[in-house]
Amino acid sequence: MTDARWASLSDEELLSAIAKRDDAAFRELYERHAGWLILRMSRRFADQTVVDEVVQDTFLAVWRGAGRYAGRGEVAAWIWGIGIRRLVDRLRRSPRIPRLAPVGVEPSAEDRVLVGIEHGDLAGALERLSPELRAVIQATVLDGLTTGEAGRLLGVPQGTVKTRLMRARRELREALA
Amino acid sequence: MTTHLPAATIEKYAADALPYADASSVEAHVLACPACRRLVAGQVDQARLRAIWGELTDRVDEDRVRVPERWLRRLGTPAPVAKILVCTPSLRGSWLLGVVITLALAVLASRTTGGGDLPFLAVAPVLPVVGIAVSFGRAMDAAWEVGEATVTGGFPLLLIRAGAVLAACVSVTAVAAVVLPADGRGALAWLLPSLLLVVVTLVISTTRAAMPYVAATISAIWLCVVAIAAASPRTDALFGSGAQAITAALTLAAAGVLLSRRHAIESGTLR
Amino acid sequence: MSSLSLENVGKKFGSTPALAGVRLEVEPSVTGLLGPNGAGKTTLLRMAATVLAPDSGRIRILGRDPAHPHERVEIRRRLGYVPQEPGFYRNFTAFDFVDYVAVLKDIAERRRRHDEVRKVLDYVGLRDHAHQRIKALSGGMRQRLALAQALLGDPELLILDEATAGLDPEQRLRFREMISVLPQRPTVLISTHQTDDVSALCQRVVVLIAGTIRFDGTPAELAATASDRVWVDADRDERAAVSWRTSAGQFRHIGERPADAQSVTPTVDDAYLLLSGADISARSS
Repeated sequence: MTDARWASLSDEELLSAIAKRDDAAFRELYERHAGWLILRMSRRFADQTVVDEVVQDTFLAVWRGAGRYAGRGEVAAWIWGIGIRRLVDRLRRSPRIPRLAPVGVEPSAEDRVLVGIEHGDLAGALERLSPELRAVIQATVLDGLTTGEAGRLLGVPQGTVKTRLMRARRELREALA
Repeated sequence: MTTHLPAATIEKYAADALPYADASSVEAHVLACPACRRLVAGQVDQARLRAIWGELTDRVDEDRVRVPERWLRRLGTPAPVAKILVCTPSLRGSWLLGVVITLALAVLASRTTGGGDLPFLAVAPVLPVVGIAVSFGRAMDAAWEVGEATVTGGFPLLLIRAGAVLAACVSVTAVAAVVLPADGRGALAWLLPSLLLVVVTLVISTTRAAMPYVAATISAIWLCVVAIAAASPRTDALFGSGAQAITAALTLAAAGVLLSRRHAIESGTLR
Repeated sequence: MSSLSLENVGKKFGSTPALAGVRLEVEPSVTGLLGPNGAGKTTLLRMAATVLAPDSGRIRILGRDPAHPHERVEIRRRLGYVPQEPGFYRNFTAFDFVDYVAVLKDIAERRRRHDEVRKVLDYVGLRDHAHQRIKALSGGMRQRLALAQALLGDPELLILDEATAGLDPEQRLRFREMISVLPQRPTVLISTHQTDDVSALCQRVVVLIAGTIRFDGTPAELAATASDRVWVDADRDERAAVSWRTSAGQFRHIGERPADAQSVTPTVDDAYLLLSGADISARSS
């Protein structure tokens, strides 16, 4: 599906072509970013139908708003920012039971090495958090949502998000101290 | 990031089999690393990606529907009809502008000359006839031959377009009629003659006559009739209630003839 | 069942005969209609596309009678047509134009129609130009656009009037390939005055000259009609019906071969020139 002309362009260049309504550039951007977006969203929300719709919504918003990308940071991060907010919007419209957190799995030695590089002791500390607290950290710190948005994503009131966030921070500080 | 993700880690991430912190670090890395994004994307079912793309393309295409067609649809026009209407040559802006200017001049003439509403009543019925003539046929419609070989080609297409032109003309004329001199013969006196002229034009076009010529001839005859009526002491002979009843009867009769001859149009007699 | 059948069909424009006594049966295949300008190719194709009625004779298209209103609609449902000069609405995008034709073709449901429009635009390689205005498209792209609208709804009969005219050699190759690999394998009737189109694309060729059919058979059979009647010489041979200088600097001759000349293998080109050249000499005598 990929067109050779576009394969050599950066994401930023694709976006400016999309802003000029270029279909091939849009297809290339989709090829590059739809896959990881689907997987990452699936880890936030288990219903595949909803995830697929939200991915559509996200790319439609990218199509409409490509001109508004102002060259700030990674395009992937910009797309994720749109995507996670679309997911939150979607949940607000039709509330469903969200997934709180992935199933806990014992990390392999190999995975440990990788995480060690990235996070050091933080990884172990996060792993010891309860699923609810982890989900709050994920939504706010890693996905960049506000506490209100995180509440909608997780299906709990904003106040609960705030208290859980405070508890999570305290537990992490203690674990890392 | 200098280190890329090991294939096994990516597979586990896709299968949702990584511990929480590891998965998070995968995600952080993926945001910044195009090579690993590609590998992660490789874990997603291609059919699923294509299905989402199919839906997305459709929504993007819908997003691109242009203004006139979008408005028509919003006003309740079925999408296929809206499409045909925006492809009708005489419904383009320039032609409608011509209609508006002509009517404005006619209204002006009706208000300033001593003739009362006669200039307006003479001109208004001619406009849809001319509009239909320039919306149909080989000379006027660039894609006429392509359209002619389709299921809708011939009579159905003619009716849709004629109807659209008539509707557009009638709406504009109705607005213009409001500002006519108050002593006018009812603001709707032009409507039945309009219909009659349109239907007669269509009927004559079912013979092998070229529609622009038919339209020009019919319009000329109408203007002569109005001129003669204007010269006679009683113009009610043409626009009075008795005349209106006769016009209505003639229109119905002509419509009947048109229906019975519709297949003549479908076999490609219009040119 | 033959896809198209003409029995003794005649058509005049004013007093000029365009077709006279044409008999033709077109079976499912790619059939080329070859002939000089003004030979009546377009008249014949317009009849096959239901937009022109014959003065005399009988036509059946896909087993139906185009003179009958309901049968004509049934034919049009199964028909794709590229006229000689397909007009476009120049300010429209390629997508909008094909969508318009799809509406006329009575594909009413919007989603199905748009999927179909995208499918045919993809097929002719205009996917990335779908939303450009037609006036911004090149000549070759417009030819493909004309083909795209004809392919809507998978027609059983595809009528292409000089659809390869004005294309450069590479575009012609691509165009032929599109025609020959159509998945639904429709009957294709394509007019051209390019003999290489016929050799490359058609299983069957019909030569139409001055409103009558002069040959009907395979391209190989057409070439064979000139066997033993083509020779090459260093100088122009006045005894030939047609002769021209080839790129090799020699003269290629077609006609009654003199005994002293060595005959060469004829091409479809030779045979076509012989047919139309013989016609010229017949008229001048």
